[in-house]
Amino acid sequence: MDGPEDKRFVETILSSVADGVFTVDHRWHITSFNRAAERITGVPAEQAIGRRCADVFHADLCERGCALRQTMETGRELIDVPAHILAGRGRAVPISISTAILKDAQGNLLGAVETFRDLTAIEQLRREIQASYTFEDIVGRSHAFRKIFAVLPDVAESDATVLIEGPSGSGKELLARAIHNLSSRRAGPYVVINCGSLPVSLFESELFGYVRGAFTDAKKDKPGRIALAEGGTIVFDEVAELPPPTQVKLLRVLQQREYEPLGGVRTLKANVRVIASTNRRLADLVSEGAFRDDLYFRLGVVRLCVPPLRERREDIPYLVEHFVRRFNAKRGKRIQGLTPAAMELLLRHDFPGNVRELENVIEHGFVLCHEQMIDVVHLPEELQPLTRSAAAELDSAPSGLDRAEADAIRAALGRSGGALGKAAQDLGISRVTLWRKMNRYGIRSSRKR
Amino acid sequence: MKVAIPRFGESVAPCFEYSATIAIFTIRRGKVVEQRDFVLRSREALDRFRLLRDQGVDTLICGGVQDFFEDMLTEHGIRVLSWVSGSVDDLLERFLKGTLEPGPGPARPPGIGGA
Repeated sequence: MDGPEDKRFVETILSSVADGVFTVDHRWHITSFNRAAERITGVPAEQAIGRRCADVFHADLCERGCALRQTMETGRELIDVPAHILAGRGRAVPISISTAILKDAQGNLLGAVETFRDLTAIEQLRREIQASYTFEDIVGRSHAFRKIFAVLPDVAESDATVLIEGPSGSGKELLARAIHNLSSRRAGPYVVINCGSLPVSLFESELFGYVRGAFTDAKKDKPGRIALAEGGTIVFDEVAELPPPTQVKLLRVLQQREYEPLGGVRTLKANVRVIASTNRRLADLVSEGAFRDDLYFRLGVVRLCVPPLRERREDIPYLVEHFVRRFNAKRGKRIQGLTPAAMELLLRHDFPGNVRELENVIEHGFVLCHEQMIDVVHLPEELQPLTRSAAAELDSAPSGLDRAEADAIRAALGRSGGALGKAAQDLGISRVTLWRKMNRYGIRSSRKR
Repeated sequence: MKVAIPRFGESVAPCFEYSATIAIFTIRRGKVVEQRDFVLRSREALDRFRLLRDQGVDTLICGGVQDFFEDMLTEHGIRVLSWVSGSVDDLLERFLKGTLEPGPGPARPPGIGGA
């Protein structure tokens, strides 16, 4: 198998297999890299060949037990060793690795071969089933999200009560789960109580539980949600909907960390971490007198605000990428992404339903798209571009606000000499937002090159 | 000024989050005046972040790093020169000369918001 014909034959076979395959010499330099390896790692073969495999894969195994090293040292094959590598956009990709030794016809050691399988789809489904989200699952690189990422290590480390505010569909639940899964209570239960869906009469028994005989139908003891969350985290979803009498009871739990089940005579300790979330601004409700200020301050020891998607449009491409990966895993498809036109449309949309709406839009695209890329025609009708006459009508009547915004952009570009980065900084918006607004208003950068 | 480099032997570690040893160099007037190696038993990626924060590190020079860790570090005022490879000594020398640039990192998936 040494002639050029044989080599081509082997290359054809390797480029057609779905698993990544690469070979290294005895100094860990990559000598071949198939097409699937390029796809999984995001590194083209011409950039991978000649480099040390650790510098291409950035795997957790490189330091704690390189599979190729073990095979080369012992001569034994390894099969299905789990590992994580870093691929496109610094994303951790779960893979399983198999290794074998490479020898020439005379039995001399040439190096080793590794095959690896992308387990993203399986891992994605496992996470959804087990709800084992970490902040790796919170997708966003906008300034607002960076601020949240920055405080997460401290929030996770502490046991402080957290208040998460943000509009519906913006990802508050994911953030709450991530805080729990990162905390020292992660082995404990995670219990959610929806404050908006429980009648006042049931709230107390649901939260604190009851003992047998507490009321007519109480035939046996029933633990409340606080008891069920013992050692873990309890989330009060839609906390703004709590009626005033119940607010007092929750305040007592937060202040004294104790409660009594209905009909009980013993006071129980509440060993739980409390997270509250709401789609309303609690501070406003406090000033209106609809929410107790003492409870508000107790809940908001740490306050995290998740902004609506329209205020962090630069996250849309990352979220799209995330959902495409997720729906590929769920539906067994191989859609690569969105066409630039479809992406442009999403970047212009206001997403009143926030991230949940974007998720639905991508799922809609997955249903209709039978090609590699989701295009404009695969998106829901309400997102489709306006007809020309309707668009012209809108364009001919720009609002005063739009005119002011366009003028501000022109002025900032003038000050920055046409440099987009500087102008964006000046305006306090991201480069992507500036670029989108420039497109919208038909403004061109006049930077001299 | 303090510069951290996760190391694996003589080379920069392949990935910041998985690195077991982080070398922290104290630099004064362009010269290294102290070097300390911190060995981390924990596999928790956040512990690496906390070490850098607690040691008052100004710059991290590393191989691979996940986006959100890079963002988290940047948000805390730590400059990150990521996706570089080679020997720790060589990287540090290039950094002190002001010629060290971040590497390109892995390619982005096609058709998804990339430039």
